[in-house]
Amino acid sequence: MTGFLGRRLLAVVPLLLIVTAIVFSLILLLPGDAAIALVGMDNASEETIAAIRTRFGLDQPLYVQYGRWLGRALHGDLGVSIRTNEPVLGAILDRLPITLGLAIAATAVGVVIGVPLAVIAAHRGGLVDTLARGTASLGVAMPNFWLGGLLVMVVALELRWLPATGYVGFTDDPVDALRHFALPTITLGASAIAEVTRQLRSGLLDTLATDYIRTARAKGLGEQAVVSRHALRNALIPLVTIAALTVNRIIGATVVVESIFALPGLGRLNLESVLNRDFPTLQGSVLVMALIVIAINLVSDVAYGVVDPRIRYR
Amino acid sequence: MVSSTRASGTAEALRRFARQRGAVVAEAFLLALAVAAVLAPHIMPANPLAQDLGAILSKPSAAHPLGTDDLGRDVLARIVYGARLSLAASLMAVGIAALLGVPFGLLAGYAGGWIDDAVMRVNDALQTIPALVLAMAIAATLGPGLFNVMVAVGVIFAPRFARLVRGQALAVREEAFVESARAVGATHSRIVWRHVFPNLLSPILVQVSISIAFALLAETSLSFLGVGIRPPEASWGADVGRGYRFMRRAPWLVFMPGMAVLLTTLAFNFVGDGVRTALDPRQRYARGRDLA
Amino acid sequence: MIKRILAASLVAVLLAAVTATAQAPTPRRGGTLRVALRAEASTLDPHRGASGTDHMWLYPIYDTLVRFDPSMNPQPGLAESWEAPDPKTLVFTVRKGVKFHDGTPFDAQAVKYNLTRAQDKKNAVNTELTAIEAIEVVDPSKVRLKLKRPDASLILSFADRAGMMVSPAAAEKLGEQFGRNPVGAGEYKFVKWTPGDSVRVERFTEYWDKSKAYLDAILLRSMPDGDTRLNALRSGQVDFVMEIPQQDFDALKAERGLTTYNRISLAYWRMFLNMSKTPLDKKPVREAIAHAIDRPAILKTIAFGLGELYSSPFPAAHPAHNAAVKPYPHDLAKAKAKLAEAGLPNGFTFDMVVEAAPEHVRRAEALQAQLAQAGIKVDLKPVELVKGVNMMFRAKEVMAANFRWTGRPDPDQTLRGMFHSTGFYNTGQYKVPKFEELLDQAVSTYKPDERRKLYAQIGQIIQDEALDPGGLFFAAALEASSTSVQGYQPNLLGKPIFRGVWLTK
Repeated sequence: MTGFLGRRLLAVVPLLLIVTAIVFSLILLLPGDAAIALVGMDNASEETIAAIRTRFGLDQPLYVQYGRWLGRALHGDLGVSIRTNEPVLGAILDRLPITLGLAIAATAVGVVIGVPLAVIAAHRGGLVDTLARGTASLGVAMPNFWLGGLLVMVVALELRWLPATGYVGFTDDPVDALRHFALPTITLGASAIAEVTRQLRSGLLDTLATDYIRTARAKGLGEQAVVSRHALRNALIPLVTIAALTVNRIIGATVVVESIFALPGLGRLNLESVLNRDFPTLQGSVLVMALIVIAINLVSDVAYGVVDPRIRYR
Repeated sequence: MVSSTRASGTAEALRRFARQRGAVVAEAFLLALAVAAVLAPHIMPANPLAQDLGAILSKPSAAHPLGTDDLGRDVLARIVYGARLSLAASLMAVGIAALLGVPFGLLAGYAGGWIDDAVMRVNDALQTIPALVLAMAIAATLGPGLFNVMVAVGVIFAPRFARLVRGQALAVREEAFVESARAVGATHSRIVWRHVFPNLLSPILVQVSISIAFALLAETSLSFLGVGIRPPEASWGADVGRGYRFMRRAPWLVFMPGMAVLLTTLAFNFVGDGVRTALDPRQRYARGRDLA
Repeated sequence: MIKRILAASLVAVLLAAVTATAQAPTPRRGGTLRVALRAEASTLDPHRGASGTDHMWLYPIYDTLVRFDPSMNPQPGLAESWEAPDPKTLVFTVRKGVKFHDGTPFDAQAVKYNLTRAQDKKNAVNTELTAIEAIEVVDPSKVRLKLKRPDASLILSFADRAGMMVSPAAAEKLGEQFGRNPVGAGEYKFVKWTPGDSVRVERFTEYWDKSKAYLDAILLRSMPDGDTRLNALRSGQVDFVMEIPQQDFDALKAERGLTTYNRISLAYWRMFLNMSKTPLDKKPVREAIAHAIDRPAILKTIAFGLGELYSSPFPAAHPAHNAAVKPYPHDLAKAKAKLAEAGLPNGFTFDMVVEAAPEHVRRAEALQAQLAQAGIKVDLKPVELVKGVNMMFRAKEVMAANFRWTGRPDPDQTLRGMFHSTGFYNTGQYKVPKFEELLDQAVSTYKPDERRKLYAQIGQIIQDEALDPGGLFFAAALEASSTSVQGYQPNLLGKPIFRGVWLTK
């Protein structure tokens, strides 16, 4: 088992290197001059700009910049934001809990509602199945920004049950924090539910059609037992994968949702750094997001390996 | 084996497609939308760019069936014209994705060895960065404009095509007949053309039809975020983004274009499912990462 | 008999009630004012920073040599008085007995230290002090500035960043860290900065001006989203909010428990033009642009009427405003005629950058549509703000930019920056000799009345030469507070100063 884990971990390293290289080379294409971003709109002399350029090492060739950045990153130093002069890692860590919390909450919603829905749909078939399939299709097709807007319009503006935007820390006021988190979680959770339902349902149906299930039925086991004991257990294996996939997709979607609900999370930081040409922050935040995705994939692979021994010997 | 029965295979596939009501209805909707988009100047009396600063944010009325936006422009006209942009963007984005992904996948699968390793690692890395984040970074880097958004979205979908094609190419490479073909002097490209490609067509088609829906969502999300806007042209995502601030006064600005995105994506999804079933009935309940 | 007593007592009670409400409420000491601002400070070092949104964070901590009244007239600050014995010499007499927050005494030496520090080429603010040749300490409360050329704009510059006094001891000790641990001589001393969230300042008990210090502390919070700010105000999380979204302002006025403030600021939206590129170098073409724009419509729909129409680079409340200069009338026929006069009967095309956010694109689109009616086609390029600034003012790649002129304390800074041939914002270095002559005259005299007359003349030239055809409107600074906030006065600069504010309850 440790060998398996070790091998998976080792495989992560080159992946990470390539991810960082991709992110770094992207910045190459940025036409804006980041040094000017620091000085602001007021007229600055060429000397001031040159001084800032040197200070941030923007005048070095790209591979030197990359090497330096990588070296520092390994020590946990992701540089300093060009806009705020604050350490990038600090800014990211401040916002990470919000995004992670949101992603996990939404995935939890997806699993908690999606699994029973998929089971019922696969089990009963007929109208329930069609409804579940329809809802799932709708959920997958629904744009986040539309659902979010709808929820804000109806729940926050008309009914005034929940606040429309903003963030309140859990330590400050847990109840109010939950209220502010409700709508964003529902928005993201909707697509999570749809994903989970769709994937799990098809997985279940597939398994239900296989031979050994037919054998189980032939043995005389009730339909309930067939579904819950055999089909579900086998379909749960891909659920780990599905959950991992869902979290990955949601992490990307937080950019839109955090924007709509004014949550100061990692997704929003990402968007701002893109719009502000703040490339140290952009590199840092994309790296951290990729790290999260890799970590989740690793966990799901390991879990997969635990559940299904066949995988371990690959 | 596929090549000899290809002609009848197509007819059979079409028949299977036609048997699915959902897919057919969706296809009809999309065709109607495409026709409306193309013929927009002739069927829409209102000009989506015509501003009426005296009548901003007005409710749906006889003159403006879906109301006006924050500059007094007709919302219905903007939705119909917006279809052009969104449909074109998603189709072309998927085209770019295929154009980028297929050659690399072929290269990786067929050449094997370190090339395969290298290409697949880059592929994995591209898929590790959350899609919207990568697309946003690329689009913002390249600057505003429809083409840049399409490239950005194309890049994030290319890995799926690459992986798909690689699998196929790998499978073919293992076949014994390749050895014998090489022995009699067939060039690599001939082998690729005659043996790899035919098997690729239907999986690629399936992947295309699945990807279009997500490409549309990606493009509208980017426009919503303000990346890639090219005012004053009508664009569904950008119109929702702009309408957000006026949600209290004019909720239809967010609701209507968003609805258009929803319906079109749904339609693409249904068509995609239909294509998948039609071309590969055994794969009816497909799952797994590749076809997501 | 009883009736009369009753009537008398009723009258007495009524009189008492009337007099009670007629009296102005007396300021009360105590309380923490919680403010929600859009953008967080980039740094709390006044000389290092360059962002126009920093000021609200800086004003409580730093006193300036010169202050300004709500109409931008200079007032004594840390400098009790100043005089110009000759045009190239300025002598400031500073207050005695003033201390910085860390106990360091404030004196002429400290002023010299500060001005020298501000002059450092690394600091963006140095461009305001280029006229200073030498700084001499005459005695502990007198500083003499020797100037390369007469420069009346220095006075109001000293009401801004350049005049913010930092403690020399603290600046020396902290070096680069000073921006995170500021020490000034202002009404409030710095306590804590929670990055991304807030800055807390507390009353400086040894502040020299005890007359108006009422609050115990101020908590400045950054909330980038307009809706979030408003909700925070409504729910009582904050007491004061600035930069309220225009479309929400009117609804706010009707809400109970809130006071709204609507005051014109110096900032105005305009089209920066590169007037050395054809055909913008031709006066009739610029006049055509001026007449093609329907300013009232733009003010009404884009700003929801919350602003003042542009007629000259200063709003009506400003001393440099010339009331005789009227806004260009919206006249399509005239616009087309002017184009024909310039030999462009079919109009022409030019490109324009604008900040890529929805509210800015909206304004630019409205402008674009109006110009199109006269045959002038605008190729709109929404870009990120700093990139747009670069494209327009440094690389000079585009012909126009639709940005905001944020306003400066002194009129010379505005006019020189935008219309002088050496001005950074006058891309193309378009030159009008008469204008430059008058401008130099106006900055060389220290007498406000003379300056006012000269600026009135300058205003006329700007209109005659059509130097600012794309001036649109002055934005109103929209702020709101809970009714418990008293004594707040908006200023023309549009950057809130909380001196004299107190809280009821």
